[in-house]
Amino acid sequence: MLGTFVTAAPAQQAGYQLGRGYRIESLDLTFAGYSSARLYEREGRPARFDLRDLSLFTIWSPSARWTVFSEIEAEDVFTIDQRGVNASDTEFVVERLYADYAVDGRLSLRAGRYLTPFGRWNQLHADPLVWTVTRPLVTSLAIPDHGSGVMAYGSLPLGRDTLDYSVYLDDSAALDPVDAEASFEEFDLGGLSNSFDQAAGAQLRYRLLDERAELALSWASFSIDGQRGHQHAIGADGIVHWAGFELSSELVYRVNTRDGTRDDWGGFVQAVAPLRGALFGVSRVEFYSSGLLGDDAGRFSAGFAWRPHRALVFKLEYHDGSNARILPDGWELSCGVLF
Amino acid sequence: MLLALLLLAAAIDGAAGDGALVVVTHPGVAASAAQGRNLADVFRRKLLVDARGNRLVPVNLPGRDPLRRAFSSAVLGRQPEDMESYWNERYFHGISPPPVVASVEAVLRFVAATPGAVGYVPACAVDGRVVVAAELEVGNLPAVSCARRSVEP
Repeated sequence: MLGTFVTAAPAQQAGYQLGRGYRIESLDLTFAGYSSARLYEREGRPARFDLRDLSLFTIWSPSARWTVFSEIEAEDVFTIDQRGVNASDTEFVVERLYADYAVDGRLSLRAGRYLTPFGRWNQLHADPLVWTVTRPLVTSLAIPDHGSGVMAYGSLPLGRDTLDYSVYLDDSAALDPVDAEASFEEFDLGGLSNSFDQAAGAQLRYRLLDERAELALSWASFSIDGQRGHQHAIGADGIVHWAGFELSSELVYRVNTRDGTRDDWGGFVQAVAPLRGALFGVSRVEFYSSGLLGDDAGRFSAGFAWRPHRALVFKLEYHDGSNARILPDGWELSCGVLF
Repeated sequence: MLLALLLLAAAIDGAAGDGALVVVTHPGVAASAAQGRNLADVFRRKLLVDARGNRLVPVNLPGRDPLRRAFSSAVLGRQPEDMESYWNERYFHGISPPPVVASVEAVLRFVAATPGAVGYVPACAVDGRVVVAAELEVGNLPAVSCARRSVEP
């Protein structure tokens, strides 16, 4: 007898799915996001718990060529420390807000506020996507993490490999009214700004081995809010995944043109190894020499990450650093979820 | 005798067809979008529109389906479970993985009903609802029965 029942309904499209958001098919609209909570104790400071991020993505495709993306983030939703519960420091931030137009399959244009395409970490910095609770210093300090302006980007096939490209022009000073208030998410570095005034940059990312490996070069020329002079930065990053193992690295050199300020440079190397089931061991060494801070800092981190579900990760890590002011020793525990 | 030989030849030819995997599209999808290297980028959701500006909508079988695994290995070079971190990263940028339907017949219905849809089915399952855009060289393709199979709801 021939089959009497088959379903054409897409089993993973409409409705809600953990880690894939809530989709309203008829409107081509998706609500998604991520959140992370962290418990940590750093050298010379009391232990603290915070709900660090609560981000909501809205993705709307009104036509084949157009997509609108927004990420609204509530930062520091609440903290608990020896003084009790504090929920008064919550800030709502427009992390990303842009419109994409697909010129054709290999070229898209973007306008709005976006993550700076410099290095790999900055564009995938959400807690559920990375292996460690903390972010390497070089991925934060060398170049502002957001831009506002226009971008052209796409992917070009090279045999079985792929070359991703992006080119951007930024005018945050004119386009982003809250840009000058941007601070460093993980570091208390009073006086340093995390905002472009104007910038231009590009990135080339070569993906090979069926996307198991990436090699990339980034470049940016920019001025920063509140700082005199023009800066230039070049970066290189790479990652390879194989059989559950992962090795990654980012290196950046930043030329500071302000008189008397030496250049910034730094990098990290990180290794991940499968231990048992969904449990992984993670270790990282990093170093950053900052002319702007007039200081150097290095740190070794080691810990574990447990991923019981593709959308959920628990992490535990310990740091041993050389500069308590910038990278204090301590331990951190976090839980991140894509929802 | 001649008739018997012709029948045997037809049976052999039919058996070869049963073992092939073909890419099928909704009528109107530019054929080039579902051929060669473009096919991988459609299923990685890097190629979102075809040369005519029409949205491309890839559709997958479930991750454990032998046809899905054969397709994924041949076209993407990886098995579905190896691509979870890839899809998490794409999701962070607003790109969701292809929808999944439960059976070959469901793929045919989805592709027939959805403008821009691209799927894959055994060659012997193709009918007039869809357009065949390419035939895939797939090693170790599992034996496929083209009788329409019952699927649990």
